[in-house]
Amino acid sequence: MNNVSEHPTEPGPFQKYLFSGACYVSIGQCYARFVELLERDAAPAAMAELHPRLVEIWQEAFGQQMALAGGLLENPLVNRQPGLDRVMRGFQEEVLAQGREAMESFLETLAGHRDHIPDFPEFFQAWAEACDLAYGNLVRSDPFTEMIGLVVNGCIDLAAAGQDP
Amino acid sequence: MNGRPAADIRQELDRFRERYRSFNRDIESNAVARGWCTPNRVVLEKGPVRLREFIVGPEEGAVPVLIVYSHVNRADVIDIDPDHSMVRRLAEAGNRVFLMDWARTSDADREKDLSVYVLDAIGDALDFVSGATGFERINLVGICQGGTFALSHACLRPGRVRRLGLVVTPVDFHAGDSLIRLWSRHIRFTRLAAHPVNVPGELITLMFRSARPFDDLRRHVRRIDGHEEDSDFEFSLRMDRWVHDCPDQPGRAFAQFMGDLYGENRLVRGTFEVRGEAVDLKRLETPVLNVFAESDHLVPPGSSTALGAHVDPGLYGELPFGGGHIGLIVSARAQREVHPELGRWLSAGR
Repeated sequence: MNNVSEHPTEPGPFQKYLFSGACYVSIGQCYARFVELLERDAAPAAMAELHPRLVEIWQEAFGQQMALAGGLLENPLVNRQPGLDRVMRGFQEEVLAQGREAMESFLETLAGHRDHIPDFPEFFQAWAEACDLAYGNLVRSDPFTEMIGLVVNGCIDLAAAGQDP
Repeated sequence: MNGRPAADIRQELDRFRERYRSFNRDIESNAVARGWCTPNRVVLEKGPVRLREFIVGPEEGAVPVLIVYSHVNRADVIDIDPDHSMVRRLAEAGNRVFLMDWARTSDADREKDLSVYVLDAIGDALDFVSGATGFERINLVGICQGGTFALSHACLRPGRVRRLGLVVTPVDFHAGDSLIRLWSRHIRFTRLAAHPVNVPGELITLMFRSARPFDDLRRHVRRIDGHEEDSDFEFSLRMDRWVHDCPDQPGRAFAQFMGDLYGENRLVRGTFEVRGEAVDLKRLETPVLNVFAESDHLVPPGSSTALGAHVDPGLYGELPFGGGHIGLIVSARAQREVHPELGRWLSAGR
C-alpha cells in the first residue's frame, strides 16, 4: 500500500478508486519529504530529490489508465504488427518526456512560492493539474495515436487472417 | 497540514490509509444495482433492437417519444437513478417514453452495416410505437451517435418523424478538437469494413476515461475521505460501472461510421449514403431542437451546431447547456435546466 506499484492493475469498474488511494498516499509521502527538506531550508535538494520519484508516480498512474488496453497488446497479431517495437518505444519515450516536463514545471511552481509552503491539498491539487495537462498532451501526441492505430489494426488483421480463404 | 512538521503529515497519511482500507472493504461488498430505475418492459426484440417502454405516469394524453441512444455506451445511463433520469423528466413533461436499447453485440453482428441500425432498427421501432400508440408520426430523440442515426433516419424517411430532438449529436465530424477523430487517424477503416471484426469495448471505455483522469483521481480521494453524501456516492459508483461497460462495436457498421463520418465528414458534405440512399440534410422537414454542451470534449459544440447551416431556419432551434457531454445526459443541473424544456418542446402541439 505504500507504493502505487504495489497495487494490482487488473482493470475493473472500481479498481481505479483503489489505485487513486494508493496514488494519494505516494504523493503524500513526496509531500512529507518535501516539507522535511524545507524545514532544513534545503529547497533545491527537495526539488532534485523529488523529481525522479514524481516522474515514476506519473508513469505508474499513466500505466494504470492504459491497463484497459494492455490486454489487447498481448494479442499475438497485435504483437506481430510491423513497426510495433518502434511505436512502443516512441510511446514510452513520449510518456517519460511528458512526465519529466510536467513534474519539472510542477516543482518550479512550488519553488516560486518562497513565502508560502503549500499545504497538502494545494500540493496534491497542483500535482493533479500538472498530470492532467501532461495527459492531455500525451493522448493527442503522434506516438499515442500511432499506438492506438496499431492496436486496432492488429485486431483487424486478426479478423482478416481468419476470414481469408 | 500547512506549517506542520513532516512527522504530522505522515501520521495523517496513516489515518488516510485506514480509511482507504475500510473503503476497499466497503466497495468490494457494495452491490450497486445496475440498470433502470424506472419500471419498463421490453416490447420488441428484433435484430439489434431491444425496444423498452417505460411505465411511468398515465398513458392517456401522453405523446410518444422514441429515444435512440448511442451504440457506444449502455443506454441505462438515461435512467440511472430517480434524480438522474432523462426518462423521468421527459415523462413528467407529458411524454410516453420508448427507448431503443441495443442488444449486446455478438460475433454475428460484425458483418452488419450501418443501414441495419439507421434504417431497419429505427424503422422497426417507429412502426411498433406507431402501432402501439396510434400516432402516425413519432417524436424522435437521438443522443450522441444515436442522434446521428436519428437525424439520418429523419432525412431518409421524413414522413415518419413529428419532432426531432438531438442531444450532443455530432454532425460536422471535423469541427473542433475531437479526441475521437484524432485517435482514429491511423486506423485502416476500409480494411475493417472489408474484414469486419467487432471492435473491443475496452477501447471505447479508454476514450471515455481519457477526458481528465487526474481530476477523477481527486474525486476518488474525496470519496475515500468521506467528503461526499451517500446518495452522491452511490450515483458515482453507478456511473463508474457504466463508464466501464462499453459494448463491443459491430465491425462493419463501426468502420462505416468512423470512416465515412470521422474520416471523410460525409454528412455535412452531402455524400453520406445508407444502403445506397443519400442522406440529404436539406430533406429534413420536421422541427428540430438541437441540444448541445458548451464544454463537450467528445462532441465539440461546433460539431452539433453545424446542423443549423443545413436546415430551414424556421424549423431549427438550439438549446445550449453550460457543461460537458456526460453532464448534459445525467447531471442534476441538466435534469433541472435542460431535460424538462426538451420534454415540453416534444409534447407541445399535441
